[in-house]
Amino acid sequence: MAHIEAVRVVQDPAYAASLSDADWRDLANSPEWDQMIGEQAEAVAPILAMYASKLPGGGRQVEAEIPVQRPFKILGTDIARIQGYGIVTSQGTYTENLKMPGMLFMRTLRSKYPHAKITKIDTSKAEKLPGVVKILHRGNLPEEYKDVFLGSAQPTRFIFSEEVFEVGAPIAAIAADSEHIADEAMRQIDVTYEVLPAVLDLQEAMKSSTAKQFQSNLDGTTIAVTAPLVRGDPNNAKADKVVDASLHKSVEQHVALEITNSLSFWDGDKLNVTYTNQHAHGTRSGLSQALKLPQNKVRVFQTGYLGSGYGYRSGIDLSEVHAAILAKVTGRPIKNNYTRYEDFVTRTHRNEFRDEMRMGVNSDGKLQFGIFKVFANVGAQRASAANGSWVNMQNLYAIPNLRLEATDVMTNSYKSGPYRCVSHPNGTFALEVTMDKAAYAIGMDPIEFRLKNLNETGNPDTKRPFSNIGTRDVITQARSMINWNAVWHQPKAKQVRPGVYHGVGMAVHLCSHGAGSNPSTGQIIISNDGSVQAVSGTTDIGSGQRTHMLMIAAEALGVTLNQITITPYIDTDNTTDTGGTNGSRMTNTGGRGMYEAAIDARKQVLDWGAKKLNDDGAKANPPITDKVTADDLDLVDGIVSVKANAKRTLKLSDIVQFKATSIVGVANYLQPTNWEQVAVGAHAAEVEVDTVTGTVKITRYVAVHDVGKAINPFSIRQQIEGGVVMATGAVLTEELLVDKATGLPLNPNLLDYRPLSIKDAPLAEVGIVEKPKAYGTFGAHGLGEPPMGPPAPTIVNAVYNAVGAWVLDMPLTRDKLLAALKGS
Amino acid sequence: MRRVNLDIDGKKYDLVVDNRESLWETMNFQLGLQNSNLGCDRAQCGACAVLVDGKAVNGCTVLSARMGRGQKITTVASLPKGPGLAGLHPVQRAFWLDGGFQCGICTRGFIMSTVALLAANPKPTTAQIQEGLAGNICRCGEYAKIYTAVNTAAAEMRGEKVTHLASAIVVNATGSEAAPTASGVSKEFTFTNPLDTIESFDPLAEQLKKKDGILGVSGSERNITIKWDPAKLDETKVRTILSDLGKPVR
Repeated sequence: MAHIEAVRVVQDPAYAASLSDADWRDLANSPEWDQMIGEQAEAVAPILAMYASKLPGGGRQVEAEIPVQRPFKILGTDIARIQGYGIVTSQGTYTENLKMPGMLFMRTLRSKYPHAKITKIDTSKAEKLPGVVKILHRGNLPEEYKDVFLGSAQPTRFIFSEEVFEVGAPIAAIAADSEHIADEAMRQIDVTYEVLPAVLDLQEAMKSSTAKQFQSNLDGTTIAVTAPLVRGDPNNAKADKVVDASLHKSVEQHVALEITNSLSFWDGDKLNVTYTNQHAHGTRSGLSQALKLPQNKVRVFQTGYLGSGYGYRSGIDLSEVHAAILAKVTGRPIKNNYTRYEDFVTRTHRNEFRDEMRMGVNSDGKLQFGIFKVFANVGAQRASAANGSWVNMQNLYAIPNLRLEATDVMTNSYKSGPYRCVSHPNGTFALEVTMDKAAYAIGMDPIEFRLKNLNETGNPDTKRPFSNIGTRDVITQARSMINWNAVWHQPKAKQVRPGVYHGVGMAVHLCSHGAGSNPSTGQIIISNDGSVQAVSGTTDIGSGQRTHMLMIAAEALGVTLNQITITPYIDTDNTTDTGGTNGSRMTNTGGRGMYEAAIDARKQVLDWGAKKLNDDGAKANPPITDKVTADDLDLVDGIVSVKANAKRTLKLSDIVQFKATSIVGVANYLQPTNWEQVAVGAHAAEVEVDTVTGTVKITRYVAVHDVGKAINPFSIRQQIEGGVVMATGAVLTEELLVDKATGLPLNPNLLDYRPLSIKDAPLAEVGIVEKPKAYGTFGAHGLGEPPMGPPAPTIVNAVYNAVGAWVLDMPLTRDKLLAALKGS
Repeated sequence: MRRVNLDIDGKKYDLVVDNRESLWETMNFQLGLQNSNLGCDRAQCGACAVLVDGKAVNGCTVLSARMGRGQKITTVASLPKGPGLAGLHPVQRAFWLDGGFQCGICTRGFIMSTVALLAANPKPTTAQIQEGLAGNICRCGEYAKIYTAVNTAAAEMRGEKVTHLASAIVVNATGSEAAPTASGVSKEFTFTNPLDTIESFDPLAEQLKKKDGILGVSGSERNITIKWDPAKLDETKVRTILSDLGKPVR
């Protein structure tokens, strides 16, 4: 399978135009492309529109209707995680708990310069250390892997590169009897660097005077300038009031608490890997591409217990390739435990953003124009991040004249990659702060202003319609829950204690996460004792995906939850790919696979049930001459009965034994293409701002989301309250820093980069709105990511309401707040 | 290298350990016990928390070579009194059924920190829970339900009857086609008029639990989550029950 560079397809029209039909098929199998479809739908949308016929199932229009909302038996109930027992005891095996006889530990020596050429590596001293088994580097890399690179080229990341573009780029991988020995070996490897000029600053990087680091026609190290989206005549549109906002967000990282780790071994010529990943089949295809193996020679096994990922572990990185090669050349299993430092620095991040917003509004509250510019510092690789911030700017409000710009810039620093909601929190931050600025400028209530400008029809530019969008519902429910009419006041109007001011703010979120994508697969197996197995390749990253697969399968098939099981574990040897658990899409992707497989199994149950009943009827004494068909039967709680005569029943075991072979239901489903599939939510918060110390205290927080249909309300509440905590960390404390002089990361540890503890965490009051979607499994729309969008503007808007000062540089730390207060 | 005798969950292990080896490394790799998880390896996140003589410590920063002097190390493995859901320690059961985790990597540590907290303080206030658990990070952000789990476990350990927010799926031992267990439907409401104080909540919860079809109640002075049996009640009836008790909801 050729390596088609997914990001270049999106950013480089000439590259996309150069692809052959076979190339497009290879692209469709690329795990990178799959991740982009799930996490960066707006980046791939123009490509899908133009080249749909080249992609599998492409161009085929699929229609869907809103599913009938009959009374459900299982959907809507609160079910605890199937892995729960293993998690609270010592029974559950996380990847980090794995070990094998003969296992070696791996450590990686990494570049200490942000931009350099590796001119010489001397491993002779290190190799002599007792317990060191093998050291792999560019000099002794097996020939067949020398041209392999991950991601998209320019700049290019080979398995071991001669030119490195970031601190932390791998130089040598060491396999030893213990991590302590490998650590010592790292210290004894001599590396000669030719240090090259590095660029760390976003603005600097865009200048034409900045030296290029890769082939490009753009200024400096600019990676891509997306063709602007223009609607109407924004440059000439008139408005009563024009507001401007310049915003900045710092680098955030996922900090999944299970540090990235893997165990790799070869069984003959087949690679076996267990790795902390969100997409077993994507890991398989990534490794198969890198190692030049067919996919059936790579087995990825997930234990079913995973310390999440939040988007940065859908695919493999260079380290996973090193581990596989080390396992091959040593003939031993390789345990690769990243250090927390490596996980922070060398994996991906939500990148730094800058936004320049200009909005024109009339005194009657109607939006006239928006000119919105997004800049993304995508770090040391080719990535697409800036135009991901467009989706709410384009779709949430009716803005008649609009210009959207997006620029992605490379620097020798933290690499950009999807992190729970990707670029949408930046879009929501920028737009929702600007909306509040506009509301206050014309003296209108911020919620009334938003309701007055809602777009509830569909994408204004492509004309694809929304399905049953719940924007108005989430806003009005959030307004009611926070008691907005009673608590809202003019800015700096309510001092609650000396120097401490009360404020309330809100924000609306719209993003493209939560819909389903292809492939949607799964199987249902009914055995001869009537017990049912749900088989799915869906990874559970902690949100309860495997539990939800079970609930969807049980509901669709017509059995109870204790008649059907699903394994926590996944083995790519005996499951089909159903996409990565990212993009909030599993309820509608893996879940769709479960639904369709269950419907197929149900049909077979009823068909065979009818056959058996007729067969029994013929053999009865006296014979029953009335024949039944599948349409005359129902399957409820595992019992098949004749609708017209409930006394005639069959057990599932009766039917399967009659058939004489297991019943296997299989999914064959293509996602519909005719809807603009968006998630919406609205948050509101009350804060107390201390103008002496500069601290912000959140006293109430309300979060409302439209989920289409609540499969498991217990899990949904968790996603929302957890996402609020996670995103608030980025608002109040989290930022990854780099030393401007040396390019060295300054704070890649959990003391200096501070996720919120139980002492700081806001406790969100959750509201669930259900507006069933035509494209949703049982009408559902996923929501793992959307709660990450609103917290920044909600809190920033509340702070403005409290003290009349805008703090638009995240995180909102005390020094920034105090400076803003001085200035206002 | 050093030879030590470790007392882990009541069992003695005679081992040789590297001087640099942490207790977590020994338990996880040498012994394969998988009774605690690593989050940072630097005592910054608490995921590896276990008890040494009843005190919560970070197993990643305790050296095994110094643990051979009779210290009693206890982990989640020592907590269950028997098999299955019923055999779990109240803290374990509460973290599971009240949703005190999402991905679960922090949970073994949170459970041990909670056990230590409740051993010292059987009825902790919110501030005391914060102090006791401030050294454990939950990146999934599930602190809201961690409070619920701690409070519910503490209540059960004090001998009170408790209900949980969610049900576990338990395959019926007698056969695969037994009748389903009722798991209920739940919904969170907001009080039209918030209660004066959190203390007013418990008497209301007691009255509600007496009503036929109400399976579970939890909440605060502002919000209340009620779980009911859909065969006996629906949302309208539940709203009426609340109104009749003088506590209408939006």
